[in-house]
Amino acid sequence: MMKKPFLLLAGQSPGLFLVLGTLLLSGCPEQSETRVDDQGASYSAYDWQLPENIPLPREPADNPMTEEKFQLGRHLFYDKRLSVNGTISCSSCHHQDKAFSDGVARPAGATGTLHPRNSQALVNVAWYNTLTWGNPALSTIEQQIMLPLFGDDPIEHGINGANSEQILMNLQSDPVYAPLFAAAFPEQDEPLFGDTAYSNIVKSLASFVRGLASFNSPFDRNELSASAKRGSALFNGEKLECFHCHGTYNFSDATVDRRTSYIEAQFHNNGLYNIDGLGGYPEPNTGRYELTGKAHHMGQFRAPSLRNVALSAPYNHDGSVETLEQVIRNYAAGGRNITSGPNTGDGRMSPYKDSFIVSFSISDSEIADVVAFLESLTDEEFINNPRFSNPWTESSPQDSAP
Amino acid sequence: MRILTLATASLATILTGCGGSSSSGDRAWESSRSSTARTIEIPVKAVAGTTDISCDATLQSLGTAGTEVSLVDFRFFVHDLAVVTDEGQVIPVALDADAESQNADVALLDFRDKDENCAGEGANTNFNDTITIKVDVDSELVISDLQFTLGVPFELNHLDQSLAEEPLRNPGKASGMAWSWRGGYKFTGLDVKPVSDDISKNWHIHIGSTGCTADPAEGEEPVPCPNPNRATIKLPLEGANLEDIAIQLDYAKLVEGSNLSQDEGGASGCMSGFSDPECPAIFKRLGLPWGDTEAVEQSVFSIVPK
Repeated sequence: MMKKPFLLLAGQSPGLFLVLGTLLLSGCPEQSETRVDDQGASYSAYDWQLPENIPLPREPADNPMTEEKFQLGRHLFYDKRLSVNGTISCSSCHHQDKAFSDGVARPAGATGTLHPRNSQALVNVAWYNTLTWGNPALSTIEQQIMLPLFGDDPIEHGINGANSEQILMNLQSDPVYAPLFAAAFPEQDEPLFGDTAYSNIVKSLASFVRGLASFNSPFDRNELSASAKRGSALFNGEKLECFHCHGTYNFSDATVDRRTSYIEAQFHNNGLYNIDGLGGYPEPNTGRYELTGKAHHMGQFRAPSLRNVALSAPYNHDGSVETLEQVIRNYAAGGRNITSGPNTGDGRMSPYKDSFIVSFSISDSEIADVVAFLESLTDEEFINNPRFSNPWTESSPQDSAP
Repeated sequence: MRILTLATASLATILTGCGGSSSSGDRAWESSRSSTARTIEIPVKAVAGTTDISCDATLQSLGTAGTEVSLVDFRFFVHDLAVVTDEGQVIPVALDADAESQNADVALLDFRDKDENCAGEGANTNFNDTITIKVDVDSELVISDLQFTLGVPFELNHLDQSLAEEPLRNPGKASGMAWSWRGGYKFTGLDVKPVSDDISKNWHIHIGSTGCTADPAEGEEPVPCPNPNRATIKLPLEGANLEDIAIQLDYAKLVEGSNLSQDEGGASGCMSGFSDPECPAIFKRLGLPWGDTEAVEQSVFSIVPK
């Protein structure tokens, strides 16, 4: 019964949220391995190392978290051999120092194909209810990882039926992997050599990504500067309306955890494009519409978490906005008016724009305050945490530190 | 006579299912049942008009613009095979799970006879132009049609592809047929490249289920998709025996109403997207409904002599 109000309140007031969170979870035991939530089913064999006020994320029944899978996944995440030509690893587009985003508008795959979308930061992915920018059908990290590894439109890692055996053999020949696979999948006889090898690779990568938790920013420690405090008030105020889509402890309304019993998938059009005067977005980035075909889903994308957002420029689904300041100015204008080029059109006038994207007047110093608040969500421990870093030594060929 | 035959078959089934206490009476019933299980290899021929489709073939005079194309990919899944009697009874037919590129539920046809999507020099080891079925039908019944459904059944379409049984495994035989972004598999990957220098885009025909969503609260697999886009193809045998026939796909008929020399929007060709202007003509010929347009009889597949 308390679950839903809890989520709503969390978006409105971080302070109140922290108090409530503490109250709700005050009965929890100290150990982070075993926690009790209000549904009574939140045991994890994995040490999530979360602050008390953060609820455990869901773990798939067929891939529960373990430290062994996390560590194997970490090795695979940084291994360029997991691509058609040995040129890219997951870490090629997801750099730890940028909160696992990559700093470019759109990344290129192993064969040079440019991806239509901006690489997302990998921050608290375990708490998302849907994965990627605009896909309501993609609800597990395991499913999502199939896309970059094996997808052919666009080609990212480029693993396919013709090269998958050879790529597997390259991993099998490295003595580092046999014990890692054996530890991660102790119930299997041949976890690296058998029929389940790729499934195990996907499950391990998912475990590593699922474990990338970030809840230790100045905001979490209640260490906001005066400017950030003013920015927080603006962020959570009715003038800017930011908190509607970027609510909850994860600053995204697409947040789900073990207490969640019902949540509607949320996608929003923020008025970036209107190429035809009818609200159209440039192909292929039509957002949720691409999957559902419903006209009112045109240009709707999932609100990303704002944790570490200061590190993940450029912004929006196609990386077409360079700075946080410009993002805020777009919202202040009630959308983006593009006056030249192929995407000319006034996004402010889109009929599909979310009702919370309203224009507002904001001063330069207020923008600086909101940016200061967003910067207070940067978690230095997260981007420097050796648990999340490249495990391969610098001399090894698969070292793929960016 | 007919009723008696059916009753006999049913009784035999019941008795066989009992197991254990077999009596001479049981065997008498068994032997009187006039059916024999047969394994039949049904060739599938892919043509474009009078040209057999292969990596080296140039397919000419296609669609409304008479476009000339070469092959990039030519694969499709089939499932739910059945025979239909002259009385309209649909009798499911098993796929031979031991046959190449098929399991008990799904078969993958692959007409690329060279590797690297026809760009390579080597043979494509996944080439498959045969559906192997096990038919166990009372020989008293008159089989008038062969039926199958294009695509992958829903029950198998949204599972873990990395653990799936071939030909649904990815990476594996289903590499390039996985439609992970939309969820599930491409039911058809029929892709050609116009030969003309001034056309750079390949023309794709990717049929698959669309509009699928997951239950975001549960994180479960997608619920049944609003547009399953699975075409059931019923082909009259015209008196021929199953042993003597082949199934033919005529690509020229599939793209009869399409202009392969241009693309008016959406994905290049038809990728089943809701507003893709190239899709209505393709869906129509496969006997699939499109939006408010109801399905008409398919015109792409036919029965031909073996």
